[in-house]
Amino acid sequence: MGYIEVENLTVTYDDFVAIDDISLYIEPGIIGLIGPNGAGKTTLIRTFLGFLRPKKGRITISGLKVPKDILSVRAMVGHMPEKEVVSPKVSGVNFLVYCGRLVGMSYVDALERAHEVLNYVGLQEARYRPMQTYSTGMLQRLKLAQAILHDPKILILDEPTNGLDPDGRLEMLNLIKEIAEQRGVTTILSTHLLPDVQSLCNQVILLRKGKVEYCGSLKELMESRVNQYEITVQEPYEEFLEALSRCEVRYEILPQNKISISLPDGLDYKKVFECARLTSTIIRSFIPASGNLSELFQDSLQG
Amino acid sequence: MPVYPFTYRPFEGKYIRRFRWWVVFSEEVRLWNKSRVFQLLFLLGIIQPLIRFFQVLAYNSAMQDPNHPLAPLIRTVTWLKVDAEMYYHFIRLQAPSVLILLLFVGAGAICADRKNRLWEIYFSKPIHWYDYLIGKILAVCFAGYALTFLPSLILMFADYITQKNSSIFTLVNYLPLIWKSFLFSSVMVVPCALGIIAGSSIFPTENITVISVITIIVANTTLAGLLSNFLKDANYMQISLPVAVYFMGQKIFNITRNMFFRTEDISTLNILSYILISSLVFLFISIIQVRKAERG
Repeated sequence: MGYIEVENLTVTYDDFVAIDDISLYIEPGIIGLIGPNGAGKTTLIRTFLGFLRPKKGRITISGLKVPKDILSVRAMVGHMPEKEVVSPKVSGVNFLVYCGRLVGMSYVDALERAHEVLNYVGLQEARYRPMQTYSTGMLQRLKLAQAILHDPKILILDEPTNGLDPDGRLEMLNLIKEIAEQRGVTTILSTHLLPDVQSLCNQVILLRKGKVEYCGSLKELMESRVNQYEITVQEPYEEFLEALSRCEVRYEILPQNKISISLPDGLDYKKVFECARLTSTIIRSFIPASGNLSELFQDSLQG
Repeated sequence: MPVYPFTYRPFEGKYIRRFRWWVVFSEEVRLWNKSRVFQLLFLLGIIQPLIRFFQVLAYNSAMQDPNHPLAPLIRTVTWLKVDAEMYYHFIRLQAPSVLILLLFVGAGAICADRKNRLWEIYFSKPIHWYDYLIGKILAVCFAGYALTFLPSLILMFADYITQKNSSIFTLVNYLPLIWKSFLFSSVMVVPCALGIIAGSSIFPTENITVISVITIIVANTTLAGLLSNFLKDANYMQISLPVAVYFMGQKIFNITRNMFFRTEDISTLNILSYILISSLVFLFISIIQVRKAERG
């Protein structure tokens, strides 16, 4: 099982600090790497692969140091880049054979493996067609195929569901889940699509402006918000807020008569309704804040 | 065609860690070998070797048979003679074909990979930048040698087998000629391949690379011609890289006849240094570009 350890990592582009002194430990499993544009996700991935040299800090991937042991690291990592990759006149199977031989497989091994992996990702019918005739979805599958071709211990997927239709997206997510769970491949999923992270990942790394905002279990992150709710009330609600304060409920007033409330431990949410009844305030909606990674993401960014 | 299961198995084979450049080289050769344009250019490039082949056959037949109807003609026409100078002219006249073929195979060698974002995939595999670059350069050089040195060897072999007194020992006589042909082919092919690869590593597309390389060669030779005309000194032609290459060929084949310069003033070492430094600059440009892609 692959793991990644990062200590005090700083990566810069000239004067611009893209990754700012971060430390994290990525355990085996499916890890979601999320963050807004420019947060440093791709920079972090490129640094793992040795395409960028850190200005400061240390990266260890399954005991191997980056960039010192970069060839051994690359041999155990499968990378699916974000952008569309195409070798126009080369067929899918020949492209994979070439990738396999670059990893160090013999021609026969690479050919056998290429057919096998193409079957696995569902490109068996299109294997002999030139890549320029492939659709976006097929190219995404081919990129995944080249990443898993050499049986990597760590799989780094940069926006794997980009440009896929809903069915294709589900199939891709199922493939990733199967590879990660059945083969025990540590999978890092960098994506903007938070539902993908929510449905697949057990760990989340939230990056913002080159810093780690959160690194840990997705379950814990969700549970941290189990006592948070967003309610919509009808005006006037000043007395209602006072009643909430007396019960030690923390609140934040949002636009359009919405109030975000955080209940103290041990206090049941029914107490909120009781406060509303006592102050004759009408509650029009009552939504738990947990269970939606998008909101967590937004909150983290605003916080 | 075996039927593979729809499962993902672990890979249990062995990895070959050495000579990774061979993979890049063989893939390049495989790719352009399938191209119709390459096949056409190659066929055009072997027209001269075919003519030379018949020249060798005709010359040896005529020279060994005094009663041959073509013997008097062949004896009087000096350029039909099969000697070291013929091999020099053969390789020299292959230069345009070599340039066109190398432009076809080399112009897209690196820029196509970069344009199609293949670098990110290739360099995420365990290969060094130098494996990649060596593979690309050797593939382009191979195309050049296929039109110069390899046909020379075939011509020498044809000459050898059509000699009446040929024996296994007379093969040794060809060794200096083989060496000279290889040197002259290298002086012609290697700088050209390195220049095209350097262009491919800095220009965004194949077309721009081709246009730029041709423009540089034309500008370089025009400048040399203008200087030698204005300053009334033919030795300024040495600034032209193609002329410098031809001159080196003359030196390699010991051809004393002056073709380009007032040879008494010209320094072979200077011209050789000029070709070497140009090649090293081209190589350096390619190294910087490819190394940057692999190591950031």
